[in-house]
Amino acid sequence: MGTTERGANSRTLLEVDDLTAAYDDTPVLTGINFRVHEGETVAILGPNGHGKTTALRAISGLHAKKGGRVSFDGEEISKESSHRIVARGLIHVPQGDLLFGDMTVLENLLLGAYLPKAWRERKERLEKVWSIFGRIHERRNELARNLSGGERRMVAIARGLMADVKLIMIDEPSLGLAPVAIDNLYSALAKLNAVGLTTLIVEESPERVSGIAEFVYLLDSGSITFAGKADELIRDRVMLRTYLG
Amino acid sequence: MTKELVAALFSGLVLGSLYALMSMGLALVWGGLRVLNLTQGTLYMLGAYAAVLAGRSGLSPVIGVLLAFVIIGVLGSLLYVGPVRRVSARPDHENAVLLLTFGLATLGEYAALVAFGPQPQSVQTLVHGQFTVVGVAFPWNSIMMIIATIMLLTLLGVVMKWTRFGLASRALAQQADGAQLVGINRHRTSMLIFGISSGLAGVGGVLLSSYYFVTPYIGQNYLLLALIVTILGGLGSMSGTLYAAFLVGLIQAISSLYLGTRWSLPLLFAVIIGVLIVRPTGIAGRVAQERL
Repeated sequence: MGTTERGANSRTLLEVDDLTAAYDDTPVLTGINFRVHEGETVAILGPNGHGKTTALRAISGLHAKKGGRVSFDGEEISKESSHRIVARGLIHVPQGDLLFGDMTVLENLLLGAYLPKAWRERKERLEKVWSIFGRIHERRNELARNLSGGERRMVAIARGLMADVKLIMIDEPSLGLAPVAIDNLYSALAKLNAVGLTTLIVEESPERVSGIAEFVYLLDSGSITFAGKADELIRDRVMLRTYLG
Repeated sequence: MTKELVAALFSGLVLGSLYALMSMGLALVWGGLRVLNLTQGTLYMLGAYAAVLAGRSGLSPVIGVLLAFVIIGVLGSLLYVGPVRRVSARPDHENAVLLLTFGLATLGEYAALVAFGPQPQSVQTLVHGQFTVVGVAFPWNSIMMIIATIMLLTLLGVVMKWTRFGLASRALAQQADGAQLVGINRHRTSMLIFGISSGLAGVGGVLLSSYYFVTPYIGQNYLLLALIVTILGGLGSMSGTLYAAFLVGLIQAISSLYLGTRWSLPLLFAVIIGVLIVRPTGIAGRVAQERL
């Protein structure tokens, strides 16, 4: 494991301790630990099917936890339901986007601001989101189901940004997208990174996140096998080959 | 013959209004929760009895309508909070809720039978008088029923299209996990959907009571027609349900005029079979999309 010190001066926003989860009786997470500090961009890397998506779903309350503790902003949220976790500012952009297909892009974004405080500020928030994702502004009156994969991913992230977000967790932003769409998406994520939004990205490829993630965890077969800086991991060819092929 | 046709068309509009109010409740619950609430007919019947009781107590009809909306609405919410929510947690909840609400509907019907007896009861019309055009009488009560339905459903349409609650209901129907990830409280929204749809059934019952005799069994007949309307319109589609309600009302009225009442239901079913062969998802229904 890497031993790099990080976030000495910033507050820990998300703490995950010994988190376990399963599908029926098949264990998927066997006790993972990680931290995300305020203002950081952290990545969880790992091969497909090794528990990355389940970890995010368990944290956001969509998947039942078997054990362990999740704390956010100093308070335990392990047993809270998804809508309460959202109200705390922990936003999950899920795999598959989970957009509202028969609603327009605009309606999808308005739903991102569903909770009262965000709803009151929805117009200002929309302006901000349009400035980051210009492409979806052009498509604002289109039904979400008619968008391309890259546009859908942008709407999913933009919907997350409409909330009162303190930390945004994005599940495989590059999954299934063409290289150009991935580049566009990552340049938008870099903008968020630049304004200091705390972000947790799950990805398969370390190259994708090396430009923006300050800290990386490697999740393999349901447990964390490396924690360190992204460039440390990329330099560690043996580790990369062993776990990511 | 023109006179008869005008009268039949008018009668079709009145029937369509009654069907629309009840079917809209079914469509709303299906749209939001993906379950069929078979207590809708019983709630309709209870609304009609509420009108009977309000009439006996000398309450104004408008107060009666409001009370029916609130009381039957609260009753519907309690149905969700109690039994329906528990059963909704099951993996096969669609079938379980169907059976549960069928059982509750039957129970409600027997309760009404015990409380009010089997004999038909009548309620005075909410609005008296009529006017005549080209020799056809248009009772103000029927006009009021059509206007009240249009107003209520327009209000519902505005709520569903533009308010946070409306957006949340539609979001929940389309993508329940996605809805929770934007902060929608699934159970509270579902409770409100149940409450509003039940309140609509209650209002439908009050309006119905001024048109037909009230018995504990009226809910069953209207539930069947509301199910026909909801399926014809396209399950969960509010606009489709509205078109289908008036279509069914008009088919019934016109077929009764030209073919006699005994042909009205067979013709209705023939039209529905025809529509569903051409459009299996109903007038405005969509095939569920798996991509999003």
